[in-house]
Amino acid sequence: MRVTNNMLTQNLLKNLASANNRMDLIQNRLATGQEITKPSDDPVKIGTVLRFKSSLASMEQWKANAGEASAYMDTTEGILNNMTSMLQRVRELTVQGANGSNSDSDLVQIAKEVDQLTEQFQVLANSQVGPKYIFSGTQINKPPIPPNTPTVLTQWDGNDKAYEFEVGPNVSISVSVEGTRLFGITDNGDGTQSSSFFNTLHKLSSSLNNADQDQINEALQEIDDQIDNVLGLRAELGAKSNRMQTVSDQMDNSILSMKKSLSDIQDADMAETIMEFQSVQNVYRAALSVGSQIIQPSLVDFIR
Amino acid sequence: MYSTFFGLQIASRALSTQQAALDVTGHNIANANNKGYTRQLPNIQAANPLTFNAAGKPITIGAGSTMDSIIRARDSYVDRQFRWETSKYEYWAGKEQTLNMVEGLLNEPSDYSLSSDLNNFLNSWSELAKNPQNVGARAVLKERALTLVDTLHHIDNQITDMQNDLDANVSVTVSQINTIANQIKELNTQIKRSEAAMDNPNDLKDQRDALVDQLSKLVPVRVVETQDPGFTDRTVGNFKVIIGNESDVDNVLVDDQVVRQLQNPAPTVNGFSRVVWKALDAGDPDPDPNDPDNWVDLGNQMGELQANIEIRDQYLVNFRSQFDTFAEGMATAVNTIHQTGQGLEAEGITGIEFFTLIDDTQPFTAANITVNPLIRENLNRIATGTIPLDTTTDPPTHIQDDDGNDLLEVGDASVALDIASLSQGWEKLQAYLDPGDPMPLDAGSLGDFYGSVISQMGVDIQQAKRMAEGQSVLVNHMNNQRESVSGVSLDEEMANLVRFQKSYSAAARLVTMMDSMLDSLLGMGTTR
Repeated sequence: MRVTNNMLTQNLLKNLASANNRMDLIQNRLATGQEITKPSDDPVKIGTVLRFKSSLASMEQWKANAGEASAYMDTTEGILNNMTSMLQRVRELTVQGANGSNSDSDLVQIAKEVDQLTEQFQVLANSQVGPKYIFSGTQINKPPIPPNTPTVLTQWDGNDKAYEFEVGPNVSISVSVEGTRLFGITDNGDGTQSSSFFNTLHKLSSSLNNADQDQINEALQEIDDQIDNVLGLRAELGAKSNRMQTVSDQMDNSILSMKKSLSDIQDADMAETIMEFQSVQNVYRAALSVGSQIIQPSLVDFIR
Repeated sequence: MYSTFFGLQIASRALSTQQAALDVTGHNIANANNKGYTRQLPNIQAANPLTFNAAGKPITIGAGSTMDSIIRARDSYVDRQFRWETSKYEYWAGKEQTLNMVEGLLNEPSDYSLSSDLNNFLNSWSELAKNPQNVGARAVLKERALTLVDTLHHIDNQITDMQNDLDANVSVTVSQINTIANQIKELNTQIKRSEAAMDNPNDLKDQRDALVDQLSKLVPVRVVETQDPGFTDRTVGNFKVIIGNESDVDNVLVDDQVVRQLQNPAPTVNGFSRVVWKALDAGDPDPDPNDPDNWVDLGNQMGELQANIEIRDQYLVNFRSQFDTFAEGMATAVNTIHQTGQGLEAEGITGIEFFTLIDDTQPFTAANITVNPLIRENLNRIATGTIPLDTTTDPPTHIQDDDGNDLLEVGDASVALDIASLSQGWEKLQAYLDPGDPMPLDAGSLGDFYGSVISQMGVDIQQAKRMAEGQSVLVNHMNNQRESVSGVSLDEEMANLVRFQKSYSAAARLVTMMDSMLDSLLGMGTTR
């Protein structure tokens, strides 16, 4: 084949351009650290990348949800803990009152303390995490016990629905302790509700005031039941809290392995890419140096 | 006996022949870097010999040389191959270029793309589900929904812009083809005139070939060169240029000195320019551009013009419809769930839609979707929980709270959670649909559908890229072939220069020699 000067120049330029293209591609990979920066880099893998990224975003959300759920349950647990010790105190007072050696005025004093504790229980029933009333089921914007309620409860503005957090693919976990179970709420069917918990306290207070020993002993039994109820709910909450912790840990692991998989697919193998860059650079240099020697001389340089 | 000065004549012919050859070489050297230039070769022939009678028999004696013609070193087969591959290359390169723009527009995978907007949107439902009464979470959700909708609008706008750009290209290309056709016709006239006078119009032919090369980038082109039947004693060519599908007899752009034009400016049908021939005879009405049968058949995957038309009319239309499908599926899925719920404000028996139409008369598309204005005005109407209904009555009624108002269950986040679960698929959505109802999209989830659109786009770009790369190798190969035949080699020209110069010097020496010979002859008559 007859080779002309133009062919040499054109082919040299073309080779330089293709080496430049390769260098640009590799440069991009090195600078971003990623092998797939556009869908056309690998149309098959890009589908996986998008799916993994979407899963990762969901997992991060679930992890954040699980964290918030734990905080929510910790606060609830704190309140239940308070209630337990307050109930222990009520029990002590009841035992003290059941002891026949008290004078009537002593019993009235004990009743007063019980009333104080009852009021405090009402405050706890309206506990909030942030703006949320934690014992009112899904009616979290309303205090379950309306203001100015007497010690005998007649109205409970909550429901028994679970307040749920999403912590996995179509997995929602109830994070609330149902106020209706905690305070033994029953609907009287006439628009009023009553609470076995507060009824017990009221019964105790009035029997102390009336120095009715039989009633006091009966109340003691009921208070034991209430303590058992609270402890039972605490155990349940603890179990849920544990589960949430497990979910959170699992999510951590899943996020980590998902990130690793994503990196396996998307990220460039640095060592390999750098080697490749070196080799392309060598080609480029060789082309330049050969080019400079090939293009310059022709017969023109030798005919005087 | 023949003339005494015959030798001088031979020398003089030799001088002018070698000088002409030197000029041809000079012309080659001067145009060595001229693209489209074809190297020229002096065709030196022995001059008509002289025959005389000597000793009773005819003797023929050589009369030196003449420059018979100057020919172009050109291979028409290589030209045809070159133009064929060029058309193919330009088709794929044009496609690749536009598809790269589409890829850039979608910006996947990155944090600023539709997929991340969708993830953010669905995740903010999960975030809202944790705090249904939190106005901040509601505002974030609204903004993310607006971002998602804006991105869809943006994509739709960009597709329209791209179509308009391509359309402008098409109409510019049409007028380009007409201009080239006219130029080729002019050159045909000049070349014919020159050939009829037995001249060799090499540089005009180069110009004409360059124009055909230029044409081959736009449309597939085929050249048919035949002998003009009007001339029998000399070579006079008829130059015919066929564009597009060469088997279509109508597709003759230039036939010798007759040029057929495309309708220019290109007629628009449904807003897009069409490539349609003008009537062949000036008096006839032009073919109707509204009839697709009249559109010029541009062949199969050849030329930039066809790439532009195909992407404008097919690829982008199809691409847009996938985003329309996506927008509709997303709106349907979210609305189906959203309508069953209420937020911080009681709704009626059914709630409101989350996504609404901009133009009520049209279905949901990427352009025709927005966040319900009621929600934009009042964040409390973003539904998070179910509407508490008393289903014992017919029709069902909204349950009342103690104060006689419609009951709110602010902590119920089931609706928000179910919308958030759309990121996983249709599992939760199924409960809202009647059994047997189709899912909103023919894919595992919203993200899966979009992912398949992106994958398909990636495949298309990769195909265009590979084809363009492969074609460019072929074009380069053909270019080398052509350069090998027609290109100027400076080495060769320098060698010729020396060759012709030496011949010229020798011819000059011949003159000197003849001069001294004549001197001797004339000296015979002088007296000393």
